[in-house]
Amino acid sequence: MEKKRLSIFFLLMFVALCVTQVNAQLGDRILINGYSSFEFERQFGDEGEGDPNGSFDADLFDLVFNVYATNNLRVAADFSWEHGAATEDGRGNVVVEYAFGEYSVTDAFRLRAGKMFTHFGIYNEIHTAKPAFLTVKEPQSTNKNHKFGSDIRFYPRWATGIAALGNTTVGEADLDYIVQITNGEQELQELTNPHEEDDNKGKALSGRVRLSPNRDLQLGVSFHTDGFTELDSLGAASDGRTRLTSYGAHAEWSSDNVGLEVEFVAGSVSPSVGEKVSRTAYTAMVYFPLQDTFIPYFRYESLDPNTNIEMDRANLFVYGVNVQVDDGLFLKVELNTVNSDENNASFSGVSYTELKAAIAIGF
Amino acid sequence: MITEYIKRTSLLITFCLFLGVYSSLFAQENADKGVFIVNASVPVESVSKKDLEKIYLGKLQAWEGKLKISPSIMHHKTDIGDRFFDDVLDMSFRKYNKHWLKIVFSGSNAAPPAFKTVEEIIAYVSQKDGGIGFVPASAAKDLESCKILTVQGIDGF
Repeated sequence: MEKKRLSIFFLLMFVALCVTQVNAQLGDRILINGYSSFEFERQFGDEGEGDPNGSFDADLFDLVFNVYATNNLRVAADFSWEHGAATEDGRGNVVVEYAFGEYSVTDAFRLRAGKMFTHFGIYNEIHTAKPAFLTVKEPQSTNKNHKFGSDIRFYPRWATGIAALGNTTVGEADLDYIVQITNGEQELQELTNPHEEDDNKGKALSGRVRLSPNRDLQLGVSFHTDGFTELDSLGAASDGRTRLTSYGAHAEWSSDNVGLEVEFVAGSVSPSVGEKVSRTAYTAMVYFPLQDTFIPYFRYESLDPNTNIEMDRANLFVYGVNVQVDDGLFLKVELNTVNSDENNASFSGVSYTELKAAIAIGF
Repeated sequence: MITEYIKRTSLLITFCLFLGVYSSLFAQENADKGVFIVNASVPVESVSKKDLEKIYLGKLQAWEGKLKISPSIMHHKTDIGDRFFDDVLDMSFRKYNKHWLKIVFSGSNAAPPAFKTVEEIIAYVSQKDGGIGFVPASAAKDLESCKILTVQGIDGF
């Protein structure tokens, strides 16, 4: 009897020790973060592309995992549930924002494979992470230009493929770079799932270089190029390709009392037959941090969806304030005023103002 | 004569007491200054202040370009954590936090874990290859699997 009790005691001790060790290892190798955003939008007046009803939006809830499989191998993933996802009711969206493995050869050379954000400009890689930026939404003219008068985006949100990236120094400045070779997107029509199978042999190529001469200033340039499969008269894939080319430049500067962000994106969509469409967009934002807590901001955005067409421009003025209520808890309130020219495909000359508010949490 | 002797002795005792109290206070102050500790696997003995800033802002990710750096911090609501942001990084915790929100959520890197006790951060740095953290100098004595990292330009904080 005594022997049995001792055996059980040692067995329990062994299990307890194993669990402790596994937990320590889990805590050491797996880091979990996340973010969420709850929003409210109401358009003043009935005319416009906003929400005249005034609606709450359970915008998103994301869990971000970083798993250090080895000292050199990191696996990163972001799982998102958007707009109160409920698959049984066909509501919302469940999405893998990114899931990739990254192997560090050296600090200056790392390799990544999987689904990733397209690293272009300031916002695309954080466009879902609302606690990571001041405004309720990322800039429309440079990031969501397909909702601002363009036929297709300057670059896709996501891309599946491989990438080389790294950090280094050039003189006194810090430099980071990324080059991505991916399936690209299928903006014109979806023939396959581009995160599973490419619909043509050409690959999309994207890249960005950022230089920080000091801690307060960052300068960057980006590019993206891809070829979309064109359909023949019977609706089948042809050898024709529509070439998408985009390039951009951005600058971010901040001091204790004032900050600036400017971004310029331009490029073209060139079908194998027909007219090339050139477009340009820019955004400029100024903000004034008050004790890191209360940050008023103003942003101006503008898009020319086709430089060959007169009177098709759209502009957005954003006036708002971001209040950091607690570590990782942000309250945002802003007014968005859209004005557009009569030939703009999204707004057709309509101008309107919308109230937007959000509670964003990062943890 | 006796009165003079008592007077001198009293003065001497007072002086010694003052010296003792002062030196113990001074020693205590030094002992409580923050120092950086690294895992025994870290192949360097000292870094510049600028490189230390880069480590804690995620811009320098490998020791000598190879061994992954695993930075850790004491929670900003501890005395030493508060001093780290004021005296070493020269940035508020909120600014630091926003900086890391962008990095983490974009999938670029994982943020340094924050610990609330000295024992926890020592355990982390001890066990983590490439680990770095900071603790009061008094806690950094006689650590077996960690060593003190000299930071050029910072004599404790």
